[in-house]
Amino acid sequence: MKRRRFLQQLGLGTAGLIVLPSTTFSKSSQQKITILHTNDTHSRIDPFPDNDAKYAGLGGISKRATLIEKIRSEEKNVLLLDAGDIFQGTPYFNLYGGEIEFKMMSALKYDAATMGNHDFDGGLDGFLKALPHAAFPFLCANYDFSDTILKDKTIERQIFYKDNLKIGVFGIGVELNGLVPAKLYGETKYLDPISAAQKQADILKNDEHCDLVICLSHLGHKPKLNSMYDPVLAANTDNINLIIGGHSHTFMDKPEEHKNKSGKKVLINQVGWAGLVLGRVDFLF
Amino acid sequence: MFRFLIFGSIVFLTFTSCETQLSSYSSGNTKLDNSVSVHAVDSIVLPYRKAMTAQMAEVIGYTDSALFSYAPESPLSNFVADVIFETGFEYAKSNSICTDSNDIFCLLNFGGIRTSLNQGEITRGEIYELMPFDNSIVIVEITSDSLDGILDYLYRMNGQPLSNFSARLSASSNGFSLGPNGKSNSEFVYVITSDYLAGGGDKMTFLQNPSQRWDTGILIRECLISYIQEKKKIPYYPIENRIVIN
Repeated sequence: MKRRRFLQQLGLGTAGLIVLPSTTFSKSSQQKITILHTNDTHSRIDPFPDNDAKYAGLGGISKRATLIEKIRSEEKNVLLLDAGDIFQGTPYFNLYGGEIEFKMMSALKYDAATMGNHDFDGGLDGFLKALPHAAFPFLCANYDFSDTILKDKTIERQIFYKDNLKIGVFGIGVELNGLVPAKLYGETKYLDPISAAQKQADILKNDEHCDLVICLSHLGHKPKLNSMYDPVLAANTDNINLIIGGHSHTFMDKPEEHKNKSGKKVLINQVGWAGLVLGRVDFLF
Repeated sequence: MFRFLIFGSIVFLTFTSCETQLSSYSSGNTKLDNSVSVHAVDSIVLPYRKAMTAQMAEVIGYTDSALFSYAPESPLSNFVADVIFETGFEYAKSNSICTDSNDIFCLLNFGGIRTSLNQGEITRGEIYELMPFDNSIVIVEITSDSLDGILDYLYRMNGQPLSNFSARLSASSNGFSLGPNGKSNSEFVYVITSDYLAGGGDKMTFLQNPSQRWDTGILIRECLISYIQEKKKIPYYPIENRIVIN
């Protein structure tokens, strides 16, 4: 039953691809930004094996590379983002501590990622050890690492320039207490996700005048026993256009539309886990 | 109404005067199936894959059917909880922690069972994917009274893997059955769990401050590997109403 629903969602996802007529883009005034994204890839470097009961032959980072390269050849302005939980799930992580995950994401030219709870699984020192293999920044706006060995190793936000457009991206993580053993996250301070997100969104929108503001969130879509999740973040903040979700391994066939604090539209998109799906949202200006 | 709309758009223009206006969006989440070819960047993975396969491809056992893990109760979670219960209870008996099977049970979490088990040969690598964490078995002593809190938690979480314990849960009342007699006559009961959960992981705060705690040092993953290596074949695992939620 679960499998059928998953396949159905995938089917819808593919069918849901809206191919806009090329004339739409011929107007010199119109600009397009293509956001590609993953979440909860969980060390799934290889596709699932052919005898897998649920996902036989699906996924694989080297196939993702082919798909991304194809999209980059078709689209001028592409950003590739990840919403966390890159680590843990296959022996690649047990044996190499995240090195190959970061190396491959760098080879695929990821632009930025945020940290998920499982990215703490090797401890802060494990993350730091793998970090030199990442050629992209980690965006963490509500983990205060200033009293830890990760001080200055992550940034709160990053602005990307594509055509004449400015895209601001920041990252929001899930509360670690009760989820990650305390000895793994050490002196990391957890900041309120809503106020941290609002602070970043205000800077990116009001001070930096970004045309598009994206939040990489590892809060989850609606995790059990948690009162803080993506729809709550969407409803209680302003100035965010897209929340790229993670943590809850939710497969969405297309982005959900939510209303923000001012009644404006916020999109939430999440693509399950294990690199089974590549998320894509195109914005037209 | 009209006046309001005019006012609204002026406000909008004022605030967005510096930015290009976002007009529309489209989406196309795409699944990665066999129609997508492997990119040349795969050469980066090759040396890692070769070394990993050498360590992980060893066949350790067999299963006639695929086993899945899902809440509130599933064949795979029952299997894992039973193996950890068996090992934990042996440890409890040989270390004089608890010798009465009416006073001890196993509680794990679905978040700790990461994949399904595929039909056919089981490799060492598959057990790493099933249980990637280096979690070890911990036994905690708690008062029998605190079982109420556990039942309440199980209801709110829509179940967790259990062995030697079954629960009937609803919004208004909870009941349980522990061990062969169905109930414990002891003031204390013993929970076999993981070090992660005993530390309050997955919000199991009721395990966090026990009257006593024993760290066995036995890795859950190694325990599963040893069990499968020894038994060779995983027995048929039905759903047996360990958790019924109304």
